[in-house]
Amino acid sequence: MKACPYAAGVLNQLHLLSIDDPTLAKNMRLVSMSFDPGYDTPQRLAAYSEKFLEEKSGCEWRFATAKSTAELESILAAYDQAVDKRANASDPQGPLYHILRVFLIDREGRIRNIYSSGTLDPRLVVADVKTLLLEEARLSKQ
Amino acid sequence: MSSGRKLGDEAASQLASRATSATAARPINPTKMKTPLINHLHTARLSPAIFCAALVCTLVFSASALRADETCSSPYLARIDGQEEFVYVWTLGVEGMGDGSDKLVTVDVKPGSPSYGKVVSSSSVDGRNEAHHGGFTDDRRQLWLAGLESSRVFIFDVHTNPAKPKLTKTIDNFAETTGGAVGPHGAYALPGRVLIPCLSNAKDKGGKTALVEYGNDGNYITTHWLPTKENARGASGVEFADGYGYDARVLPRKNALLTSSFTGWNNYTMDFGKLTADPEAMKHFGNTMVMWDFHARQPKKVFEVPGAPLEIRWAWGDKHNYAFTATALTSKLWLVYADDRGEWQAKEIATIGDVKGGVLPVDISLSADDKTLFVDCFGDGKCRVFDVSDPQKPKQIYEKNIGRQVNMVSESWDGKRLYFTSSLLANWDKKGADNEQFLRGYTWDGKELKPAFDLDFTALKLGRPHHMLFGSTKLGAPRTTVASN
Repeated sequence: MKACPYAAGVLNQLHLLSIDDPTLAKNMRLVSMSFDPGYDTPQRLAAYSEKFLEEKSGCEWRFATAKSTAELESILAAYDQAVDKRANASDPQGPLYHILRVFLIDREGRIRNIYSSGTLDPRLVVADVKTLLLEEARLSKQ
Repeated sequence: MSSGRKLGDEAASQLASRATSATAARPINPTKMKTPLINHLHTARLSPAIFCAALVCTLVFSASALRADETCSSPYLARIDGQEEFVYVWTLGVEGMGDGSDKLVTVDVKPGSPSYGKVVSSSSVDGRNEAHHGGFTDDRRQLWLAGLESSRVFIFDVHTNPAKPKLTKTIDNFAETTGGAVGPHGAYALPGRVLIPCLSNAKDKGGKTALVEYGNDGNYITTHWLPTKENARGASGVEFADGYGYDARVLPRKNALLTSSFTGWNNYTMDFGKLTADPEAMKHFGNTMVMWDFHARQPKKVFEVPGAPLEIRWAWGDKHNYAFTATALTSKLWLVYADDRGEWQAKEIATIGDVKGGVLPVDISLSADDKTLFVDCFGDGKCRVFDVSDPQKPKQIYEKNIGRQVNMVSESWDGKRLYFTSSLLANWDKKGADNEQFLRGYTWDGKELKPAFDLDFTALKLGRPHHMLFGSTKLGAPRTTVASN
């Protein structure tokens, strides 16, 4: 799997933070989505995930792929995520290019924030997740 | 979401404080997110829980030496790989000239192209709207172009065929949707959305105004009104607050959003001679800049910056915590910078053109290495170039007459090419022979601007060329850095 090292690294930091934080471990879930379903089979993703999930505790972290490019496209369209193929498929930066977007989604399935390469910082994500939990607690009292 | 959570070091608390008060209260398109994941993912088993969906990428987004692009665009924007291929020119229609409508004009600037320096397409919108500024969405697939007079926003697809953009959507209920903001000034790419700083309001069409956010799908998200004396929204410097707006730009690694101020609809649609002869009208110009907590969209500090501070240019260097602006009415360069204690300050740093009455500086462009600042002066048609290697002490090193009037300047990332347009506002442009309307390309070798091409927009019956944006078929990643000091 030719995953973006930066995004994977930040998610790994989030996962590590959740190991020592029961609230995060219980309430946060990470989902990594492949844009290359032809290459990234569930078996490959499972093998890839092992290096990140040596610690069995912490929050859940799922690695997802689609059954086909057609199915992937419907997901990308739902997220308004553009992905283009590079002219040179063997480009050292990978066969695809796109802007990085990481979505914070609440229990209701609503996007609450979108992080890019300029804002994807584990400290910020954790603060946002905990803010959502505070909001949830407040709403539950009403 | 109001309670901040300290997560360790200073940078963390800066980023984390006031986490997502804006985004939490105003979710983006909640309904369209409901089902696709559940239907299609092979391995994800979704149960009700808060989670982050990380879209795994195959991109390495370190800066590429081949990357070009213009220097003054949003840091969240996908970047052009290599040299720009097109210059998009948002052009004001002129009654009796061609079709008389505002239009997006596409000019080929590919080196060696048979049509280099020529118009390759033109796409008109409905009528005249006081075409002004625009901007791309973060994925650079759409170009949003705003009309100051009509408050309409035109969305073009620039991805399917970058040589021939196509109008796909028009937002024509801006004032109603946004709660009374009018005069959309441009569009600034944020992740998955655009930030539209406005110039005026529907109530009195004065200068009090707001920042507005739309999703990339064209749906309204939220409105943030600029702080006023009556409602400072928690900002310090309330004694200066005038509520005026103009530009809005972000320094992501400092969580800093900076806004500037101009004037309202009543003034920018008035004849310029009549305006300057009206002492009461001349009182209604912005004299402030505002520093915001970007993440929370919370105004933090109002600076007194007299004389309509217009364009904002953040420095790009990882340790360069400062931005430049120019004040149109007082012909000054100002620096907004973090002092030794990390506090944001604003300071006048230079006079632009030591000319009685001023030179009406309008657009500015900062080179990618933060060393050179180009300042367009509408009053005398000159571009003045400053060495800003020491941002506290700019020195003018060059000047060039571009035309009888000049407004916008766009600079390539490699600093070798600059493009200039002439129009300021339909009723502020000069009259008679001084009303030159052009797009002019120049090369810059560090010492001198040399003409590359010249397009006469009047002779071509196109109109008044205003904002320029670069297009290309080759895109890369955003040029941003994550938290640093």
